[in-house]
Amino acid sequence: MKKRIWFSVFCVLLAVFFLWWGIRPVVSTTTEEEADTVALLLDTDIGTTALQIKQGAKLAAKEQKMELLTTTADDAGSAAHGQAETMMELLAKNVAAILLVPVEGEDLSQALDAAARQKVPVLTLGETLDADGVACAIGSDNEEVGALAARALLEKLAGPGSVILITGGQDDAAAAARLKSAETVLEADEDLTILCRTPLWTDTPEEVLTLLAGYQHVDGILCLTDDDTETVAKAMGRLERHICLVGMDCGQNRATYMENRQVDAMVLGMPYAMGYLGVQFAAGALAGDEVPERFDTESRVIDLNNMYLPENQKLAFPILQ
Amino acid sequence: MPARKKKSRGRSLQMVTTSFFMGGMVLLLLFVSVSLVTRLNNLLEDNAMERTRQTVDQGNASLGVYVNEMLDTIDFFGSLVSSAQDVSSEALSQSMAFLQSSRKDVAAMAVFSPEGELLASTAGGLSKSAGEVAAFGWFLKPIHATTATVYFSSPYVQNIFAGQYAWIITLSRRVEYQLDGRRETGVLMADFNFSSITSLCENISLGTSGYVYLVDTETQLVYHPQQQLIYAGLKEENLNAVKKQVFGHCRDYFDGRDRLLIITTVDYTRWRMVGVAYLDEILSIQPELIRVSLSVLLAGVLLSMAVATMSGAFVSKPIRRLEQIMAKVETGNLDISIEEQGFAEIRSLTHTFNHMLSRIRRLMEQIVHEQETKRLHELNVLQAQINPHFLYNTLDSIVWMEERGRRKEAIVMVTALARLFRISISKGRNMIAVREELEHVRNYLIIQKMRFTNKFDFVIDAQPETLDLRTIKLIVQPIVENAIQHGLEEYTVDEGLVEINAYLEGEDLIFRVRDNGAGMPPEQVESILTAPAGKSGIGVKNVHERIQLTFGKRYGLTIHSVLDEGTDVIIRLPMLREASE
Repeated sequence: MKKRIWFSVFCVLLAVFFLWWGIRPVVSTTTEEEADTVALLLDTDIGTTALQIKQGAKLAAKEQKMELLTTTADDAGSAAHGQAETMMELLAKNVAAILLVPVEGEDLSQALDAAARQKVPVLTLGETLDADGVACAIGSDNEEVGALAARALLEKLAGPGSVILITGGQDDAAAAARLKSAETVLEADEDLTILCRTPLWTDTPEEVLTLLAGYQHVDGILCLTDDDTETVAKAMGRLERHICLVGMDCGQNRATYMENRQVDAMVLGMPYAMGYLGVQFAAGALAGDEVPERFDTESRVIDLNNMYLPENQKLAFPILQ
Repeated sequence: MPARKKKSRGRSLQMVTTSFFMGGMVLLLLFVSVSLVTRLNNLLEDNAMERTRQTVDQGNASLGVYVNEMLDTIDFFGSLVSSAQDVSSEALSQSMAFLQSSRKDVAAMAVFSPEGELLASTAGGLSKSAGEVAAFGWFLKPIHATTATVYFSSPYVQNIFAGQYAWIITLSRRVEYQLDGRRETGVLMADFNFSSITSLCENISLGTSGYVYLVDTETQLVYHPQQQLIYAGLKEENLNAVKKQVFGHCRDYFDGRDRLLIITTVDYTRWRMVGVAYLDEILSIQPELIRVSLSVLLAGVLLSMAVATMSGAFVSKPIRRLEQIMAKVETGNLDISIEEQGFAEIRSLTHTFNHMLSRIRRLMEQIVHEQETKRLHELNVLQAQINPHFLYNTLDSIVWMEERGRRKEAIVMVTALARLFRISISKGRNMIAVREELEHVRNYLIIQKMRFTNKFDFVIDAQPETLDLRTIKLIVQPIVENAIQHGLEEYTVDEGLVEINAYLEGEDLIFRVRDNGAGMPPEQVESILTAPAGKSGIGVKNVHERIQLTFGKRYGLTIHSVLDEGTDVIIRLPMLREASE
């Protein structure tokens, strides 16, 4: 009888345990307070590129149930220094990951070391960073961009011609990579003559006009940086004759330049995809997944013929007005 | 015993009741849990689907209201143009500007001639030629229409106005206007910022990661929150699932997750709004429901096990008790009575068993009594019979005395024999007075003494108060006979003596018969009262049995004997007076 009583007591206790297990409130492990914060440190918050990166990052953060903290370096005079400081501030706030749109020629090594010590993955978007400690670099393949731009120029010229290559600054590694691949494509065309390869020293349309004045006949210009493209486009607006200009992204004025034939074609990257993939890869890195050291986003050549096609409209006109 | 072992190997009542109860409970709980979970699950799914559908419907209704407002706006714009005295008048321009300022979502409004020339606009001049304008779909459809139907374009970047590249939806219709005194038919268009529609869609919440997208009649994306990623090839949308459906709902498995697709048609536009909800989000309570149900099921099973075990034990306990008592009865112990307790059936069974036991006991007692009575009767009859040897020897002694002329002694012997017979008969009574019993013994001793030529002597001494007490007749004579035959006759003593006393000891009447004969060894003393019939001392044993059968085990004979010294026999009887016979 005693055995039966003990057995019954055991059953009752076990039943109580199961009831407790069944009706106990389950505490969610992904409350907002506990959600990881991923910081997006932009080089600037002005322009469509920054806005697209933010939008893409925001969508991915929502999907990954992460908090997105967007910020920029305050010190416009020495952005690099400001970016490093801002990174340190973000690390002090215990962010889980940092998406960085680096400023050219910056020394962020200390901040990257600090991030590595805190085991905070740092991912770069767009521009590459020549430093250790970057978990993943997401951006356009500059060699592909250069080749695309060169082929677009050849297509627009549709025959023999003389072109000038605006090469970008000496420290601009991305521009150098584009130039290299562009030269390869252009030099392969026997009908094409490269008149010169030069950077713009003053970044003014006047400099461009002076440059053009130095040559008897120029059929085309290939610009390998965004800023140079806009400067040359402005100069084209002042020319009475048409010179074929192929360049990089001119930002929000790209449609105007294209409509006015100041720019014939431009190669656009996908900053929205960079922002989106940046957060996705950051989440993967935090989860212990393997993330690629380098991920190349697609680039497209946009001209007046395809700019308004549905598949390109979002790229060429990303911002809803 | 084998039958008992076989019985014990069978299934116990407790086991059977426990098993049936538990089995029944488990089946019942399973049935209830499964049906409840299934039903609740269905309700949950229906509810989640209904909730999602309502959310999408609500979003669609909001979009419908907005589209209606767009239609009202363009209709109003159309009425302004139709009623204007001249389409190029300043008054119309002002009205158009006022109308646009009242609707912040209106990007531009314009009136075109049938050739595509701009007649009036709120957005300044054109960057396109009339021919280029006339080639747009939003222009071609109304210009070729016969009625003033409003046409909706898909969202696109407007590029006909200089320096303006807004994402818009163009609504257009044919319109009659007055120009230079002529009534003509042209095209009216109004561009509405697409951001208003995207805001409406973005505000529709379908779980954490659910969303809404719009497709046109060709199932081309009009709006999608991940449109950039889709065009960039980084994301996909399963448009095949919604291709065939104008409205309703369906499910698909896409990108590793089960999705619920709610499809509705947006009024006027013929667009379809597709709400995408992830089942793991809208049915997030489902695992909890299953967990609760599982825990209740397990707890129920365990509780039923506990209840079944205890109830089985509770039910079988009185039966087990009954079984144990029956086992005792089986061993012959009938002096048992079971307390009636527990369930009515068990009480009834116990009552019946007790009744049966009582009846068996009575029957047993009756049988024992009958047997004892029969035995007593037999013993009495046996005891009453005069030993034929004794009679023959006595009569032979009398003859011998007559022949020898010892007439006087013969008369004494005949007289003693006659009295012996008289008391033996006693009118058929079994109980006689102590006086008569002693008289009977005296006559016997007289005869035996004469027969044995005074080889022994005897003394009879009785307390006077014992003489009128009652006793079973003929109980002393067999003891005396035994003393003479085995103590004195076979043992040649010089002066044999048989001493008979009657006295009271407490409430008992004692007869004491002592002789100084051969005596007996202890083992013989023990065997006298227990020896089987036919052995020596049968008369003594008969006396003992008669007393015990008549008065109980407390009474009877006690024999003390010392070899070569003599035997002392105590006959214990209850003190019976004549009235209590």
